[in-house]
Amino acid sequence: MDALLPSVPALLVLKVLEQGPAHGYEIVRRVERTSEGVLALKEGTLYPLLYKMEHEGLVSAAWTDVAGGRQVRIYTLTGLGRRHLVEEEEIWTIRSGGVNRVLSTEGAATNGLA
Amino acid sequence: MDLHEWAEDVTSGIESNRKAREVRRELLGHLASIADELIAEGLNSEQAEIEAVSRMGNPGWLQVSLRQVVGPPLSRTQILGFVLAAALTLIGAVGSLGDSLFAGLLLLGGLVMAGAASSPGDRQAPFAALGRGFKRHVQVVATWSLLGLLAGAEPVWSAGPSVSQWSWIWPVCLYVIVPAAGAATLWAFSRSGVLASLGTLGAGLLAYAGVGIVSGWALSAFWHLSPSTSAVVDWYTTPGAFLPWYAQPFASHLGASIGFLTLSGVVGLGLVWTIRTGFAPFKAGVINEPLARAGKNRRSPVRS
Repeated sequence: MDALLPSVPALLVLKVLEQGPAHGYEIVRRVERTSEGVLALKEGTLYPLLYKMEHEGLVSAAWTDVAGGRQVRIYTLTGLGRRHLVEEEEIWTIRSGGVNRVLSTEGAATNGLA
Repeated sequence: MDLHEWAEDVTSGIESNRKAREVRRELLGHLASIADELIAEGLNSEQAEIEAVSRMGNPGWLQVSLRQVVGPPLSRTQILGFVLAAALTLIGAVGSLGDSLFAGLLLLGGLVMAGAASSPGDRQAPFAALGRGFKRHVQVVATWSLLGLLAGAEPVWSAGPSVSQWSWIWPVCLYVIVPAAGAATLWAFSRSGVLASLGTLGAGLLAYAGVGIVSGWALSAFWHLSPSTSAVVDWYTTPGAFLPWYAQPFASHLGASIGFLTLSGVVGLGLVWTIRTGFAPFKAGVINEPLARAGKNRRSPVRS
C-alpha cells in the first residue's frame, strides 16, 4: 500500500516552485511566509529532498550569480514536476478530506457512547 | 564549529567528489544567507554562524540522507568489480613471491578497482579522488612514502657485511611505521566516502610504489655502474637477477609488498565502510528511509 498522504515536504517544495524558480534558502522562506509561520521546512530535509526530486526529473537546477558575488543553485519545476504536483494535490485533497471526515465521525460516535 | 569542516563532515558519505563539492558549495551558500540575515538582526558573525549551522538540523542525519540520496550504495557490478580486483591482487601478490611476472596481475587488479570505483556519469571522479587523497591526507602519503623508501633501500639494510649495523630498521618498520601508516589510512577511511577513501588508498600506494621504485632504481643503477659494491645486494640479485637493472626494483619483495598493501587497504576499507554503513551496500530500497523518518520527528510548529 502506498503512503496514506503524499509527502508534505515534497508537496510544499513543488507548490512553492510552481510560483517560480527559487534557490534553497528562498524555498524555505516562501514556505514560512505563505504558511504565516505555521510550517517551517527544515534545511536538513530540504536538500536531500531537492536532490531526490532532481534525480527523478521533477525539478531542474542551474547555478546562477547573485548579488554579493555569490552563486546559488536555482531550482525550476519541470513539466513532469508540474504534472506530479497536480496528481499529488488531488490525492492530498481527497485523502486529507477523508481523514478529516473519519476524525469528526469518530468524535461524534464517542460522544454518543458517552 | 568551522563551516567548512561542518560541510566536509555532512558530505563525507557522498562517493563522488565532484558531487560532494557541489553539495558543499550549495550548503555553504545557504548557511551564508542565514548568517547574513542573522547579522542584520544584530548577532555577531560567530553567533550567526553557530545559529545557522544549528538551523540545518542534525548533521549525522543530514550526512546519512545525503549519502543515500546523492551517493547511493554500490551497484552489484561495482561490488563484483571490487571482488574481482581483490582476487586478482591476491593471486598477483602470492604469485609474484615466486615469479615476478605475476606482478602484471597486480596492475590488472588496480585497473579493475579503478573501473569499479567509477560511477557511469562521472569518469573523472577517480582521478579527482586521487588528487584529493594527496592533498588532504598528507600523513597517509608521508608514512607510505617512508615505507616505500625503506622497501626500495632494503638491500642496504637487510644484506651484506653491514647488516648488523642496520638490524634495528626491521623492528622499527614492523612495529612503528607499518602500524602508523595503517592507522593513518584507516582514520582517513573512517571520515570519507568510498571513492574518496579509494583515492586516499591510491595516493598512499602511489607514494609507496613511487618512492620505493625510484629509490630501488637509484640503488640498482648505482650497483650497475659500480659492480664492486654489489656485495650488499640481496633480493635484487636472487629472484630478480635475470632481469635488467631497471626492472629489478619491480621484482620480488617490492612488487609483492605493493600487492599485499593494496589487498590490505581494500580489505581495511571494506571493513570500515561495512561497519560505518551497517551493511548498506548489501541492502536494497533504503533510499527513502531518512525521508520517511523525517515525518515522524515533527514538533510544534511542524518542522519537517
